Amino acid sequence: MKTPPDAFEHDLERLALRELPPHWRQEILARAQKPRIAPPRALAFVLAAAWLVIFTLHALTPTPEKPPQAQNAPVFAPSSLFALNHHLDLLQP
Amino acid sequence: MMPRSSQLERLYDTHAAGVFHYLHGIVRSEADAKDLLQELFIKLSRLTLPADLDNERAYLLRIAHRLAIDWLRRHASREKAEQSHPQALFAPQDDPDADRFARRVEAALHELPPEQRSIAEMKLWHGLTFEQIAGAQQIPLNTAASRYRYALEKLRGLLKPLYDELKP
Repeated sequence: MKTPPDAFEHDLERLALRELPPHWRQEILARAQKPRIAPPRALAFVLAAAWLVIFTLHALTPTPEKPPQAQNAPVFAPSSLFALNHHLDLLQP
Repeated sequence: MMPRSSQLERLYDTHAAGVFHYLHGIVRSEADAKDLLQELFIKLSRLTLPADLDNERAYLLRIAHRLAIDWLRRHASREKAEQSHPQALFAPQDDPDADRFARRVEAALHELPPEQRSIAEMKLWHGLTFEQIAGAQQIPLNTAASRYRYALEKLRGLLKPLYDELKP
């Protein structure tokens, strides 16, 4: 869509935009071209692969049998059971 | 085509000043407009420019517009607080009358609603067509054209006394 510009529009168009400070050029272009660290997607991929290796190794490693005395060992030491029973007695009405 | 170092430099030399002033017109802060210009060039360094790009300025202003709108969403209250200083948009003129006119145009642009001012800038100083403006701002073509007409009429009214004085 085009409309023919009038003299007023021409006079406005003729105004030149102000230049930027010269030192901005180096600053902006240097930052724009700075090497970046690995993007998050690649980082996530590496972490996921590392965890996969850890889980696989863990699954493939045979777990040692528990010693027989450990299987038959009481859950609480006798002294702990005594103390617990004593507290229960105290709580009884 | 990936913007290489020399291409990025060419884009900067050709468009940075215009894009900066466009951003400044929206965010109204030189520091923030510079940050957004930096963000734009970081984006450009990662982007593949479309092979069939017919107008680089329109393409860059489209990205700049989105960056500025996102910025405004994040800084709505701050933007309102910084609405008092007209932007130094135009280069100093050798002729005092021309310089006076340029400064008055800056002040008049400052009085326009932001959506009209940005379109006036795109049309008058970036040479974009209404189709390109509509594409850059994601608005209907007729809206772009009517906002420009409103902006131009307001500028004409605001500048008429000085314009008549300088151009008898």
